[in-house]
Amino acid sequence: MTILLLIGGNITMKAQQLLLDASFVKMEIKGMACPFCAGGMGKSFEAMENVQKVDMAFDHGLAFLTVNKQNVPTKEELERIVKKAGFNVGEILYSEEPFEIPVRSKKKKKKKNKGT
Amino acid sequence: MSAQGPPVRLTAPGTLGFQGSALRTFGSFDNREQGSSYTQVVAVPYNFSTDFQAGLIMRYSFINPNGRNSFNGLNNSTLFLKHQLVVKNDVARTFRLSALIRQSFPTGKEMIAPELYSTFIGISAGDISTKRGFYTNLGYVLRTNDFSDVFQYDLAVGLPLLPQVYPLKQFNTFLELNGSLDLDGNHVLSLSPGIQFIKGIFLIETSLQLPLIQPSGLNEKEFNLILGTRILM
Repeated sequence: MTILLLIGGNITMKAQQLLLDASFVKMEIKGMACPFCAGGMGKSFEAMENVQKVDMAFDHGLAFLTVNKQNVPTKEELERIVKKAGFNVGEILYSEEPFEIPVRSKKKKKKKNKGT
Repeated sequence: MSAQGPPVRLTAPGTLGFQGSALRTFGSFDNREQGSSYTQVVAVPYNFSTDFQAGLIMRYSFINPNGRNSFNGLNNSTLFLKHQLVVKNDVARTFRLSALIRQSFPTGKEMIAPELYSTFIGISAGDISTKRGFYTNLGYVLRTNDFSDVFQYDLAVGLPLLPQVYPLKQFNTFLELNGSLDLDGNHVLSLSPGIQFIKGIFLIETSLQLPLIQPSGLNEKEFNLILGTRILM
């Protein structure tokens, strides 16, 4: 039990350290209509040395990168990768805090009209 | 609904998706009035730039004629070029139009494939959003050795069945119409429903082709089934 707690604590500490060392990038990418096609672009982001994590919100045309704080990719670098994949870049935002990633909203269930 | 994949039987209009190259292979089972055949197809496209792709298609066929011995061998091979001419990108939507050239060579073994060179010149277009995709291929095939030239037309609509996630996990369905009309007036039109599963860089797909219109008495097709995979490299 103690060992499990120690391991768990160690993992949490490492995750916190990674977050402390991280910066966050939010990119608007136009043309991402085919996620399988955009998968290649995700691979390119993941292949960058300074990128820790990639997330995509295809419906919103957004990509989210978690990058090393000491080595943040420049706008020019990111634009070059996106252009090479056949897409257009819109706004690129940097932050020290994680961006909120849009979650697909579930379809609202129709409430039965119970009458009065 | 969100998430899209490339159509199963049509050539996708974009060159995007491959950060270098990909591998596609599928088995095609053809059942006809006078027998059946199975062809294993291997295609390797390579992106030379964002808007220019070239590749090679190789085929190996097993022929089983009714009441006769079966035989197998290399079928004809094809070199293809795709040049993206129009790109209109928007949020979660894109329109692409590409020029296509496919040159087939008589590399096939005698009895397996006809001794002919054929050149397909045409276009591939697609209006694709994360909610659906509309695709078309149109082209003209020039053929040697007294084979009649052919006008080819294909239409497809694709719908995703799973919400999009990253890393990718998609389940898509396609309904395709594949038509050809040769200069002798022979018209062939088929309906091809298909499904596609995508996980990460792997894609698995199948499509059943059923003839709607075909000339009678020319070894009529009963159905064609393809099952294959694509891998982004």
